[in-house]
Amino acid sequence: MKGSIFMDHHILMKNVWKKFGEITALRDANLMVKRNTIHAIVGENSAGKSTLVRILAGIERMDKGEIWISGRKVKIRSARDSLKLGIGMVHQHLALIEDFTVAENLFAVGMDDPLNIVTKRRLRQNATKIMERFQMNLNPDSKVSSLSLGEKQKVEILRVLKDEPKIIILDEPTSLLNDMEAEDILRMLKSLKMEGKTVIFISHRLDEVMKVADEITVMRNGRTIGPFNKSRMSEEELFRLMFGEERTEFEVKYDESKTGEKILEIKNLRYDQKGRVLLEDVSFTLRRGEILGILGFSESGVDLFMEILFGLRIPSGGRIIFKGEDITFKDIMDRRELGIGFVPADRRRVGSCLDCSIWENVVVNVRKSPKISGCFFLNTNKIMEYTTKVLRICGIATMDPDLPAKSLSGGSLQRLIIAREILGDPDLLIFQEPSWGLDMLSLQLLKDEMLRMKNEGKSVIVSSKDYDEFVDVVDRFLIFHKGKISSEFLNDGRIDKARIVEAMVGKVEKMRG
Amino acid sequence: MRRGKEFLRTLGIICLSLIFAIVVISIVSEDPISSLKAFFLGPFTNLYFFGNMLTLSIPLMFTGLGFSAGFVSGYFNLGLEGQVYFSSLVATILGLQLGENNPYLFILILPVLSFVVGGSVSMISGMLKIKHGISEVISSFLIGIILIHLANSLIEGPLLDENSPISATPYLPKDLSFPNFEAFGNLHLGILFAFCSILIMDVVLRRSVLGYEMKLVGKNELFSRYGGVKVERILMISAFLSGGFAGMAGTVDILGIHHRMVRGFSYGYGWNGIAVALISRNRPLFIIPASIFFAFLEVGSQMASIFGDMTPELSKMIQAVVFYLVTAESIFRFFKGRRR
Repeated sequence: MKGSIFMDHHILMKNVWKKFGEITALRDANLMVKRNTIHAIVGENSAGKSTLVRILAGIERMDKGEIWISGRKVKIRSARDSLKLGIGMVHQHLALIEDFTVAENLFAVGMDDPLNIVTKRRLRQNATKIMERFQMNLNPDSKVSSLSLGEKQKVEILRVLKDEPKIIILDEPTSLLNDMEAEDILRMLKSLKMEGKTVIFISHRLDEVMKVADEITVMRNGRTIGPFNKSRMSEEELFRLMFGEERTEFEVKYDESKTGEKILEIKNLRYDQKGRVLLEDVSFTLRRGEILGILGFSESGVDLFMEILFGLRIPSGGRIIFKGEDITFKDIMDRRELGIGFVPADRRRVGSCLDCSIWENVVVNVRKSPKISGCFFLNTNKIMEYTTKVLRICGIATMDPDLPAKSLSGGSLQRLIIAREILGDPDLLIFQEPSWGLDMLSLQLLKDEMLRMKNEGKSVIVSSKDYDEFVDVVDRFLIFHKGKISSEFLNDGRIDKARIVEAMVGKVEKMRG
Repeated sequence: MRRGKEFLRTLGIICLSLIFAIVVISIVSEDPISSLKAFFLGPFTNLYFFGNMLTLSIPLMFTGLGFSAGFVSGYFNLGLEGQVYFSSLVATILGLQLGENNPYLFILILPVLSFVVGGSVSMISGMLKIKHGISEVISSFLIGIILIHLANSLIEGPLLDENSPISATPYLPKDLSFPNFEAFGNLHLGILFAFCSILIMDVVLRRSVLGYEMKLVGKNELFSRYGGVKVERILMISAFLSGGFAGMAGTVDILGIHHRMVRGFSYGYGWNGIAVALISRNRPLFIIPASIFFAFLEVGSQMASIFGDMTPELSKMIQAVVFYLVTAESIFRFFKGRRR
């Protein structure tokens, strides 16, 4: 009987259509989520995953379609409607108030009891209570601006959980986190399920989907396939459904004879902040034709090091020699002109200007090159030609270069930034957490590009919190722990993952958190 | 499409302010019809009035341009008023001292000089912002006020022309003044200076690497830094241009109309310049119609007071309404942008 399908499912989205201008984001999409399950939505960049859940959360409105919650047809017109139906959503992008403390971010915003006087103590008690319940230990008094990206994501999740929603939607909750933190989140999803909640989460990482999801919906080009029961699917099958093609395997081994002359030399780099030593004794050399992987968790100093290397911060001591020139105190323009490119982790504030147009974002690193301008004037024709080329490379050729960059989806934006830096043709390209928001196909293309640079005698540095993310291309790993290089591994094809993880957490001490 | 929306909103603000004018005139005036007619049509009845309207818009074009030259890079120059006043005093002094022998050369030198003076004053605030993190909103405003008082004390003191019934300096040498377009009332060569400045800024902002960098710094400082833009330098350039154009506003007015420094001659140029810049939404070309609109309010009110029974202060009321509306709207937009 038809009625039963409506009763069986906690959430049922039927024949949903959504258009953004010319672009159709959802075509006849369906989502069927059983009560008290963990439901994963997987798919390529801009496949429509976020749009689908944003409709459920009342942030976007669908053009056509039906939504049924617990067997009742509902209309969701706003985020408030959605909240009333017991739906809470954790967003992909962080929206915390940086100057507020963790506790303030959790409770002071949207207090339901305006007559009660808000005391620091009460805020702290409430915050501690909810953190204990979900087994997250953060200091409720630390300012959000001082937290790592991973910790910020935790606060964001807690903020939704405190409203006790029955249905919890998480848009890429683990994309910012390192493995251990991600494990935390996955464990939490399971405990939420135990409490009787229904969980929907979007993820790029098929391994974690296979680990926790009960059912999976695959999205491709705005269409949905599924739901599939996890036990009847393999990772390979999912991958094929997402992309319609097989994964290509890479065989790369470190071959010292193929590397060239020294290109970068780091000598005793050190960074202090308010009397605390955050980075110390960092020394290594990098040769042409080498891909160097840098691993480390949130506070290991990796991010700090990357920023110093590119010139976003000035070190307290030590030297950076690039192509024989001391660039320790050179500004970023000089570094770029010498041939260094950078893909930062914070793509929405540092890597791009969301309020600027797409072309303004694309030409930033070539604005003074003959590709784009005479010495003073910009050449509009060349700019449009160049931007179109970049957009085509990113697979979004239909975008209008005059639109603001914020109209791009997270994945497209990341691809745009990566493409821009690669096309700047640097001799050394630094990637900070580049896989962020990339689907597997884009990640594979990125690795191809890294190998191409390597073969052309250029060098790549890539930082990551996932030790096996770039293991198939990296020649050598440096591992950071507590502001120092704790160990180094040559990638001879037989790397012992356990040893890497040990080095990352520091052999003796336990990881914080 | 977004531009169209912005344009409509601006049009809405202008219409609201004009409706306000109609309401005020209708309530206050004994003979609303003739007052309204004088207000709306007066400035267009003959070339003389029309020319005076254009003349009045010249300093506003400069101050408007000055404000937006800073604003695109996020440099909020509230010292326009002081920069206008002080630079024109410096130019006047120089003109009085040295202008006798080479008047035609000094017609060119004085605007440039006042540009440099205004720009340098504004760069002080830029420097304070960069080196010490002092908000330029406060420092430029305070420095501006100090300069106004300093200039006033000079005008009332050593520079005062004893024979003049008003507080003013002696007249500049006779040939040291802009040629004037007789048929158009007071309209003088300064308008060409204004058009040229606006055109140059327009090209710089839309077509040059410098303009690109200025806009980038205004929109996202972190990204600019990452992109290799020398943010401090761009801020200083913006501050200089901002104060520079403001500095020219006063001198051009003096060379064109007053031919000497009169106490308080520039009253309100700076503030109206901010409103002009906000209405034109930082697109230099739109500064021309925006300043003419402001000048129209001024001349229209004068007409309504001559040919009707209104007081010239009407213009101030309407300008205040425009000012409130555009600033409210900008502030609203600013916070909306922040919340994202």
